[in-house]
Amino acid sequence: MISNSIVSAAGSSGAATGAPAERLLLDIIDTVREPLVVLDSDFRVTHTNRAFYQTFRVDRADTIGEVLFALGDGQWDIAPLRELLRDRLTVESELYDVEVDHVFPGIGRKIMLLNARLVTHEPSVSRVILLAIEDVTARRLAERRLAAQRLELQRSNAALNEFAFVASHDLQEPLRKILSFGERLGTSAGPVLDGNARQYLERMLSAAARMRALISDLLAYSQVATSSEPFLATDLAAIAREVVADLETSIAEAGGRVEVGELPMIDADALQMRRLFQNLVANALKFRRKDSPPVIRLGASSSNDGNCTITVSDNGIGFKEEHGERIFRMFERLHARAQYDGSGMGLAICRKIVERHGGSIAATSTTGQGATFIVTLPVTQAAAEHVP
Amino acid sequence: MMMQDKHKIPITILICDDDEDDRMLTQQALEDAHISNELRFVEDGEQLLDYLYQRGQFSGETGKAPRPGLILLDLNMPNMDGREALQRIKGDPTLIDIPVVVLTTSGLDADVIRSYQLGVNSFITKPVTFSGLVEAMNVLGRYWLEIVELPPVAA
Repeated sequence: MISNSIVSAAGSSGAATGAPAERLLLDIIDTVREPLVVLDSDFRVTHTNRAFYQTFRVDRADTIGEVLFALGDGQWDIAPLRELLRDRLTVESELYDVEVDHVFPGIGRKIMLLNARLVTHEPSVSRVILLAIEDVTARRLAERRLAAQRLELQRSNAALNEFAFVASHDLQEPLRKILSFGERLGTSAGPVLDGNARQYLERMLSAAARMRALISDLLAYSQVATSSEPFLATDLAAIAREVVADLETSIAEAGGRVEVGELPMIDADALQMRRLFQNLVANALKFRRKDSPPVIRLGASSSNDGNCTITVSDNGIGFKEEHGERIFRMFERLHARAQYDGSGMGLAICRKIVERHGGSIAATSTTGQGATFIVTLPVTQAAAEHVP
Repeated sequence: MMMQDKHKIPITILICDDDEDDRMLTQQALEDAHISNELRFVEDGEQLLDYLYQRGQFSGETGKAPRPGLILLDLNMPNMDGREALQRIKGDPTLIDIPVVVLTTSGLDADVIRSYQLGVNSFITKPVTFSGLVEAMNVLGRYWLEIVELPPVAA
């Protein structure tokens, strides 16, 4: 039975490689963890292995000598597989990573990745077809589930952003009117209102003004992610100098100074980088100690993993180490408004900006010992556009 | 009263805003800014065009819809919004010479850019406070009604 011997069928010169070599080959085939099938030129199964029997739940007796397409009462009569073995293989003789998705009536859906090879060493000997099958059903289904989840996540993120934008945008309208008519009321009725009534009106207006600040920061926050500004090569040192110039008055009033060290060029949204530095420096100025002038240092270091690290450190009041994560949340505040005013959105916006750039932000501090904000950003962005 | 120097005819200011509160606030801000020109109001882009073409509810006897010397235009309105109205006005040779100032709550870059591309003459984001609005109307009045030379309007 020459056609049933792999070794002779594959064209080796008979006697030298006898039964031991054939035995070894069969053992190798049997030990391989992936299903492997050897077919003769009529597509009859001459050899296969344990993995094949296990994966496709068939018996050796019903398999060997049968035509592949007739296996399991025709369960293997798969059109793409026929086309692959009959037509493509005779042309190409080696095929790799061909995916076949098939629902077997008995064992259900199987997604198979196939390698096939047509072996014709000598024209006189029958051809042999080797078919290696990897069952990638679980992997492919998991990948598809993951892709679907990623899509759903993107959709819900977009919806959330849209909501934040619309809500904050539309809430501004009635608020502007409350402020405007309140102001008119104060002007026209102010003289006739008694002390209490005037105070109520003032409190109402100051609460409305605060709400306006909150909504406007929420709007700014929602716009970070929806920004369509491209990432361009951006000189962070120039941006830091601009920010320091913008804050000059506040820095002078606090009697402090900002030291800008060497900062790199990175691919970024320049406007958002400006906002990031602005928020971090303004934050450091705001939370200064009463007894010593603020000194704020901006520095950077780059690592060999394609990221750069920018630090903004101050000698201010700092915060308790355990609040290191909390301070980046939306509307989060560690102090009473009477002490330090603000919406609590500044650092949340910083984090959102850094995340949009694929980076991260963290802060370390000990109460009374100043704080250090550490921003890690990729130096290059895949989607960056470089001006020649 | 702000006049056009050459012809000494006080211009009509046409205010297009869908929101009644906003029409009231703009009117009062103009008053507080001592701008006593005749004010006319329309509530969306369609009404604005009807007014300018003197058709529909604005057809008939003269004086019902005097040609404005300045249009204050809101952007976000039902039916026809300010963007489309602006496009129509600046696309019509008979209307193109009427100065249009967008006065809106939107400060979106996209709206500012689009409006100028469509040929708006100025773009003002509505100040949040009433005193801010009065100040804006003050400056607007000084600029459009005193400093600049406007195209002559037939009486």
